[in-house]
Amino acid sequence: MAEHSISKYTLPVDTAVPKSAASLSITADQKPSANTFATLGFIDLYTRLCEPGLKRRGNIQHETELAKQAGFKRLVCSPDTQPCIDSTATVEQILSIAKAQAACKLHPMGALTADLAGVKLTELTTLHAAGCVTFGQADQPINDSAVLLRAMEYAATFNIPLSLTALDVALAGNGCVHDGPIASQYGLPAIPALAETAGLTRLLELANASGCRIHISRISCARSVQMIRDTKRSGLNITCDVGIHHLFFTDEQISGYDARFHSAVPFRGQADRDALRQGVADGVIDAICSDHAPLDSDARLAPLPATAPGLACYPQFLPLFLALPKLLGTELETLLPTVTTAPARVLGLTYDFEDVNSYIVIDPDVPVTVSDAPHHNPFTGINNVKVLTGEDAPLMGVVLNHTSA
Amino acid sequence: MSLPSPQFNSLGTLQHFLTLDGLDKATLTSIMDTAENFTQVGDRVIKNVPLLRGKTVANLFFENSTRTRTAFELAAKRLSADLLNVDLVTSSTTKGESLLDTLRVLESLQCDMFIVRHGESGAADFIARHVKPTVNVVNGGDGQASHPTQGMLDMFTIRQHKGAFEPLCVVIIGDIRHSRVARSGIAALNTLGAGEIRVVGPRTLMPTNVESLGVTWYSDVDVALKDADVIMGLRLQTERMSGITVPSSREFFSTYGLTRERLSLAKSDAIVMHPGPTNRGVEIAADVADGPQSVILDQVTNGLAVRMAVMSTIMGNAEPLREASSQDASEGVNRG
Amino acid sequence: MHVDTPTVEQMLDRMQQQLAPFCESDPSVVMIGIKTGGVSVAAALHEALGIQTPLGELNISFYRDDFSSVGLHPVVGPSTLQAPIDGKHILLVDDVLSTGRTVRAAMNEIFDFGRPSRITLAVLVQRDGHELPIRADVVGENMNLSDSAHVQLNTNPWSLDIGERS
Repeated sequence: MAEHSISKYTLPVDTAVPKSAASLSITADQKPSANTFATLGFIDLYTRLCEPGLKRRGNIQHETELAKQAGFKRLVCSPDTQPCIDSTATVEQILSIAKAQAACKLHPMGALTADLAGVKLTELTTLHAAGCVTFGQADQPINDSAVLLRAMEYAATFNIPLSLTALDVALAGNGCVHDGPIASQYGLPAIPALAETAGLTRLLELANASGCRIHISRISCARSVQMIRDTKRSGLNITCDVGIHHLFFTDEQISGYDARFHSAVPFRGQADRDALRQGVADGVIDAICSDHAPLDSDARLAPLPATAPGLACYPQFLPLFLALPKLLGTELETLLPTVTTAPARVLGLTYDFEDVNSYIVIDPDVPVTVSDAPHHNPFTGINNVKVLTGEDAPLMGVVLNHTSA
Repeated sequence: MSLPSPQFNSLGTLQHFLTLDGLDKATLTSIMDTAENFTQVGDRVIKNVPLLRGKTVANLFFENSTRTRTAFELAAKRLSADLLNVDLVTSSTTKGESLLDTLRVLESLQCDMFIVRHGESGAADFIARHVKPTVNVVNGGDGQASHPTQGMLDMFTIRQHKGAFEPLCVVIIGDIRHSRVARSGIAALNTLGAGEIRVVGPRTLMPTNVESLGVTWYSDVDVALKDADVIMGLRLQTERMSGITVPSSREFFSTYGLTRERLSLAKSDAIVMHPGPTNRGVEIAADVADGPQSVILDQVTNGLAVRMAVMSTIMGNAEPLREASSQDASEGVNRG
Repeated sequence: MHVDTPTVEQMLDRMQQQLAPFCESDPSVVMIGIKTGGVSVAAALHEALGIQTPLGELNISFYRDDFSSVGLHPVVGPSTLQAPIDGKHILLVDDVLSTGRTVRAAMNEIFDFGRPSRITLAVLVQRDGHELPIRADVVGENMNLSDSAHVQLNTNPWSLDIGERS
């Protein structure tokens, strides 16, 4: 079979063009467009693979295959499996399934506390040695600040990075959507932005006191961006990411009780979304993650507050990512680090720039129509973001070469 | 994007009665006009009309409310419908799948209309999206979202006593944040063009962005009551009285309770409303609740006519769909 | 087509003559008009006959038998029967009698208000198209009209428009 060589490379500014690049190739029947380019394989800082224990929602084989098609080569999988990732047995189980079935390399995120209950620390060094690159609490933040402080001090002792979501549990209450005009109009229990910023203040203070290296996972509001900007200026070494959907959606999407937009980290107001975009554009937000959430078929068969939160992301991740430069008024080259070298730095991972398998080839000119379970993916059946957000961004872009992970 | 409202059917007519938000002035007025015609049915020797004869109405109450359930029950019976009370509070039907199972079973029993009362906001909307196209759904109150028949009977009562809405200053006192009654009332008052809507209470009882609902927030009830034409009290739920939203029911009464002295600050012909049951000595003084300006019992009576109007209107709107569906069914039999 | 002969006034005269004996023999007779067309006819007769009891108005929207095909009819104001009807002689008035369904609905409604001793049906125009065994006792004019003909009564001044249904 004849092969095309990729002549154009769009690579993160801080990487060198590989010597072996000439060997990056795709098969002839894929007919690359003029804009086809090569780049480093993506790293996802937050995804849910639902295995073990939640296989009715998703599994390692299926989700990693979707991730691979979206350009990811390495994934940090959330600890909220059943059982959660709080023992070496579970870590080994996941890695052994991954070895046999996964289309991407998995880096489990360990549970910071046993059962994610926020009471007792897990064996961080043992789990770290077993393969957990970072530790966190998924969507169940530690309520007790004393426990959180000890966890940070302990992790700092062994230089283990933590990946935490900022949330004040009491302020979030039983909320399910952003506390804004839409929630007030529809009478939906709401999570104020304050729940995130109050939680963030606590995380930043404790990190500062403990010297722990923390990564703030999935921020959602304008004030969080400002707080992180200020903190970074003050010299504290923190990083943060945003789920890609949060760069597109606002609480408007929930109008009419549309449970497809029920997200654990809620979609907030337009000013928040704009601030998140600005944060990505100017580098305050280091990384973009998928926050991918497979759901079972009956997860949305209930009134909105009773539905399971989460949106599937991988089927549209790449087209959404490729639409960002235009929406953010920036170049693709400056955004590529948010899914490659920045998440690598957060996790302390490296790229082998010489290895051809570190790269993927993307054709940005292939239209994409998402076919997925419609109840957990609002993009199902559509091919332009305009349908959902009013902004004209066609869903385009596929990964051409699927070299091994 | 937002989901299109499920309230309207394929013919463009009102199929379900889920929320007053999004219904236009003509629709609200038409319901009130229809209700007007039902008001005298209760005065007759035979206190019902044969409009819904042969129809089956099911009361699906996932949350206790004897008052509302009884009001719907009587309304259905005055329309000559058969009524089924399904007690779902005691059965553990709260999870999604089993909620739909319950609906399917009742659909199979050829129920034509569901009256739904549920603790989750958006529950009526969810049920309306999942029933057969021939079934009607009436929201009997869902979570903190909506209580549209209460909203309509409030509007009907205001119109009965005050006529036009445009010149009115309406004051709503109490727990706006958690009140579906307030939400429905505010939506309807805005649509009907009420001159001014004031909401009164401590910040703890106001939703975030309360002004986005089209109202003005007053923390001082004495200031808010000046020039009021209509004063609506809201029931303060017991669990909120001694919690963190209000220090105590006694303190609430002293700061916001509607007393005769406070009532005298409003216009002399102001009417006093309350969705009931009233907490006397908490939201309202007994002598005001029973006083000459109180229309609380009118609200109860009007509730019957308004519910009859809502039920007969949407049931009638769905009749062409039912007819088409039964023809399809019988043609299917013939072909078979 | 505009019908001038007999005039509506002549038809009303005819009805008045036929109804007068009932009113003279029984001063407690109650006249009820069916909304909307029947009310104007009834009002004219009520005045001309000098009936003492208040004129009743029936809105039969809630009693129609076509709810299951067309739904709720536009409402035209509530029924008002101020005079008690138990044991009374009712003079039921409508403008046009055709299928008989309106009269059936009206009689059903009347019985929900009480049990009259007798009902006499008086109509301005009795035309073809009967679908129920209902005939008027008092008629202003019998007309043979095609099925598609539509009769419209105008007041101020009185006139009858007879046209084809579009």
